[in-house]
Amino acid sequence: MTSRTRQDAFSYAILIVFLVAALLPFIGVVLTAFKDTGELAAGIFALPQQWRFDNFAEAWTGARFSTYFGSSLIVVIPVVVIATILSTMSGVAFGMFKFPGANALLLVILLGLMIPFEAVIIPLWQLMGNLGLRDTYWAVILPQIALSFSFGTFWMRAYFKNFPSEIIDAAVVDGCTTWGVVWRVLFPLSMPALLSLVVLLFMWTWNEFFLVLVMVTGDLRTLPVGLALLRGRYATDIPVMAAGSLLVSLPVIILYLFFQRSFIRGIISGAVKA
Amino acid sequence: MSAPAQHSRSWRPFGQRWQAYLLILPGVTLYALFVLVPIINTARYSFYDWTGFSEPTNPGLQNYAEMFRDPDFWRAIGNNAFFVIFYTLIPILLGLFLASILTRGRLRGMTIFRAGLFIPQVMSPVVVGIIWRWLFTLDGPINIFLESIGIQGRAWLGDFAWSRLAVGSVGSWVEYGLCMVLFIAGAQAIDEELYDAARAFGANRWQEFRYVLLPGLRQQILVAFVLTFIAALRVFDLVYVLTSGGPGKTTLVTSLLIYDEAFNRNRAGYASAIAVAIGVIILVVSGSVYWIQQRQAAEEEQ
Amino acid sequence: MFNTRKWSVLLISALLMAALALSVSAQESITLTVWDNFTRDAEQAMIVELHAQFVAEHPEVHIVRISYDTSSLTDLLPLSLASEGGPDVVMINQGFANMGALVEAGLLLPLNDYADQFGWWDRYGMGLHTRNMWSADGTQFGGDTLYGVSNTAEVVGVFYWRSDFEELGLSVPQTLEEFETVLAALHDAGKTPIVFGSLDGWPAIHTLGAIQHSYGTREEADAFTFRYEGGTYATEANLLGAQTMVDWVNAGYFSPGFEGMDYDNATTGAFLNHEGAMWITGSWMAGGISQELGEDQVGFFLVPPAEAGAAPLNVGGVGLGYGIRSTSANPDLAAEYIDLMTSADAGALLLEYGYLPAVAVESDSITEGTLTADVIAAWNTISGADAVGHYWDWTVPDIAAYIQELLAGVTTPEAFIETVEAEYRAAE
Repeated sequence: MTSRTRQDAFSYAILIVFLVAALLPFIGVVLTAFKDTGELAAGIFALPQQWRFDNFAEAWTGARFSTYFGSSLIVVIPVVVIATILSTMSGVAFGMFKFPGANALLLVILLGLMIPFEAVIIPLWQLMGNLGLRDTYWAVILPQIALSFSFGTFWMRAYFKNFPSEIIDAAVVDGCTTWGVVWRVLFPLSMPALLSLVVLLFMWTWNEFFLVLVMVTGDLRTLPVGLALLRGRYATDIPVMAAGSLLVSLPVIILYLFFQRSFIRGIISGAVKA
Repeated sequence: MSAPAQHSRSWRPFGQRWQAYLLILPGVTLYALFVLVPIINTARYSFYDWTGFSEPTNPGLQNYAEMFRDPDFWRAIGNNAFFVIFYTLIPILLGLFLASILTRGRLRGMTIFRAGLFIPQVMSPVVVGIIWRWLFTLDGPINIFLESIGIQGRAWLGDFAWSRLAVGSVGSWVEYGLCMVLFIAGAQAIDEELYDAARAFGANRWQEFRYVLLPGLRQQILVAFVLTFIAALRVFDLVYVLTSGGPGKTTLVTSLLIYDEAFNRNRAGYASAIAVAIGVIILVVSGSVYWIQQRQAAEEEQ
Repeated sequence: MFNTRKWSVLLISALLMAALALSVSAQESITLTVWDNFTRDAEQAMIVELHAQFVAEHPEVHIVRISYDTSSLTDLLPLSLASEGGPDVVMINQGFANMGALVEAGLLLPLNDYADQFGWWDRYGMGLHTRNMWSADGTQFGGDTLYGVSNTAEVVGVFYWRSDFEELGLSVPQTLEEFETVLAALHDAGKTPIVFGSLDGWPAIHTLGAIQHSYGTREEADAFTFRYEGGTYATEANLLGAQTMVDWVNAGYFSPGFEGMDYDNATTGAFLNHEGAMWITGSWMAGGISQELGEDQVGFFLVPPAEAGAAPLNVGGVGLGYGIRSTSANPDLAAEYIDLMTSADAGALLLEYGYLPAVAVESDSITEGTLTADVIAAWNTISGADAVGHYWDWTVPDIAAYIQELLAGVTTPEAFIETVEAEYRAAE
C-alpha cells in the first residue's frame, strides 16, 4: 500500500512538473495582457500593477477584432462542417470498400499533407483569380475544405477500417440499405471520432494565417491576420499583442476543454488504428 | 489484446464499387480543384524561371541544378532533419512516458493534466514565439533556474552553438501534447486483463511498458510519427517567430527558404523546386514507414 | 443526389456573391483602392481626417483603404499589382527586390509628370527622391524616373538618457573618438553603454550601418546602394566600421546577451527601463519613448563622423513611397491622393502622431530641448546637408545573418566584408 502511494506521489510530481512547463508561458501571456508597456521590463511573470482591461478593449474595438471574429466564424464553421462530412464519406469508402485504384487515390489525397504550403499559395491565388473568387470568403473556405479533406480522409479511414463488422451485419439483417447503413449506423456511431476530427480541424482552420492574408482583404480577414496587423511599422505594442493573442487562442482552448472527453474517446474508439 | 473483429472487406452492403466512388466524389472534386491543381502547377513552375507575377520563361532543369549546388538548401535540409529529433522523436518518447504514468492506476485529476498538457499544441505560434524569446534571454527564467543549479547560462536563441537546440526544444514543447493525447487514448483501449496478467507474472513497470503498453500503442505511434514528421519537415511559423532562421543561418529550414525565395526575392520558380523536393522526401519517408508497418501487421495476422 | 444538392448550394451561393459584387461596382461612384501600412488604431484618426479632405473635393470618390503590416504588404504587392482590379495607390518599400522588381515588371506608373505638375520635387531633397527612382526598365536603382513619393522620414541615431550624461559630465560627442570616450566613461561607471539586441537581425544592420557610415562617404554609399560603376562593399570605411563594432562587443559596450534579445520586447524594454545609457536605433522610436517617458528625460543625437568636421553621413531615408499601379483606371485621382498624403498638412498630422514627416514642417510648434526637437534637428541637419545614407539590406538581403556571424566572432571583419561583397556581386 505504501509503495503504491509512493508511486502515485512520484507520478504526480512528474505530471506537475510537465503541467507547469506547459502552462507557464500561457500564464505569462495572461499576465502581460493586463499590463502597461512600461511594466514589461519587470519581467513576464511580474504581476501587473493593476488589472487593466484596456489592452483587450484596444484589440477588440481599436484593432477591429470584433469584425475579424465574425469573419473567423464565417470561415471556420462551413469548413469544419463540410470537411467533416466529406471526410466521413471518403473515410467510409476507403475504410470499408474494396475498389480498384483505392491505394493510388488515397496516396494522391494524402499529397495535400506533404507539400509545403508556402509554395502552393501563388498557383492557388491565380486559380482563385481565374474563378473570380478572390476577396470572397470562398477563396479561403474552399481550399481549407480541400486541405482538411486530405487530413480528414486519413483520420476517418483508419476509424472505419476498424469498425466492428457485426454491427453492420446486424443492420443489414434488419433490412438496411447501404445508404441506410452509412447514415443511420456508421455516422451516429462514429460521433466520437467525428468530434475529435472537428476539434483538430477547428484548431487548424482557426489558426490559419497565410492563406487568409493572401486571399482576402479588409473586413473579410480573420483573427490571426488581425493579430499580425498589431505589429507596428517598427515596434510592437506587446501588451495589446498579448491581449489579442488571448482573444485569438481562447475559442480554440475553450472548444478543446469542452470537447476534451469526446476528443479522447474519439481517438480511443479507433480513429488512429490502421 | 481485444483483437478487433476481423471483417471481410467486401461484404454485401459494400459490395458495389460505384458507391465507393460516389462517396469519394464530392471531396475529391474539391480536393482536385483547390489542392491538386495548385500542387501540379507548383511542380510545373519548378521547371521555369518565374518571379511569381511574371510569365514563366526559360523551361529546363536549372532550378533543380541550382538547388543541388545551393549551400543554403543543404543547410536547411540538415536543419529539418535535426528538427525531426525534436519534433518527432522526443515528443513520441515524452508522450509514451507521460501516457504510461497517466494511464496506470487510478490517479485523480487526470482531466486537468490531459487538458493542461495539450495547451501548447493549441496556442498560436506568434504567442509561443514571443514568450519563448523572453524565457530564453540571458537574464530570463531559464538561465535563472540553470544558474541556481550551477550551470552557466547564455543567450540561447542568439547563440550559434545552441540556437538549433533551443528552437528544437520549443518544437518538442509544442508537439508532445499531441503525442501524449494519442497515446493516452490508445492506452485506455488496452485490455486491463493484459496488465493483470503481466502483474500476475510479476512484471515490473518497465516490463509492463515494454510488453503491454508499447505493442498496444503501435498504431498510435505510427500516426504520431507521420504527423510530427510532416510537421518537422514543413515547420515554418515557429522558426519564423523565434529566430527567423538566425543567428547567421543556423536555424534556416526549407519552408523559410521557400518563403524567402518566393516572396522576398521574387524567385517563385526556384521556391517551387524546393517545395517539390520536400514533398518527395516526406512522401518517401512516411510512405515507407507506413508500408513497413502494414507489412508487419499483415505478417502478424497470418 | 445528396452530392448534387451540396454542389448546387455551393454554386448558387457563389453566383449570388458574384451578383452582389457586380451590383456594388455598378454604382455611379468611383472607387479608389489604397493599400498602406498605417495599421495602428491611433493612426486611423489621422487617415480619416485626410480622407475627409479628399472626399470633400471629390464627392464622387469612394476610398477603400486596406492596411497591412509592412512585411505582409511587401509580400502581397507584386501579386496584386499584376492582377486585374488590384489597388490604385500602394505603399512600396525601396530596394531591388521590391520597387525595383515592380518597375521591371512594368507594374508601376512613372510619376515624373505628376511630380512636375504637383511640385513633388520640392517636397524634399533630390538625394531622398533618388531612393524612389529607377531607370524605366527597373534595372538601374537611382535612375531618372520617379515611382514613389514618401510621406515619412527616418534617421538612425542615438537615443540617450540625459541623466547619465549629466551624472558623468558627458556631452554630445562630435567625433567617433569622442563617442568612444563616452562609451568608455559609461562602461567604467558600471553602466551598459549601449542597449542592443540582434536576435531579429535587422537592428544589427542599423547599428553596424551607423558606425560604418561614420567612416564612409556619400559617394561610396551611393555607388554601393545604387550599383553605380565601381560600387563595392569592400571599402576601407566598411572594414573599419566592422572592426569598431567588434571592438565594442569585446569591450562590453553592448547589452550582455544581446544576441538573444529581440527588438520589440527585450531591447525596447531595456532602454525604457534604463538598463543602459544609449540606444542606436531609428527616429521611429521617438514617439513611443516620449509617450512612455515624457519629452525631457531622453535626448537624441546623430552618430558623429569619424573625423572632426568631416561631412556627416547617417543611416536613414524616407519611409515607404506612395506609388500608382500602371493599369489603374484613375491615375489622375490617384496622383491627387498622393499629393494630399505627402503634403505639408499631412506632415503636420504625421508629426502629431509621432512620425517624422519627410516634408519640412513649421518648427514653431516644437519646444526646444525636447526629444522631438532633437529628432527634428537631427533630421534637418542631415537632409539639409544631403547626408542621408542607406540601409545595406536593400542590396544584400542576407546581410543580417552575416552581421550576426561577425558579432559572434564566427567570422573576422575581413571575412565578413568578403562574404557580403561576394553576395553583392552574385546578385548583379
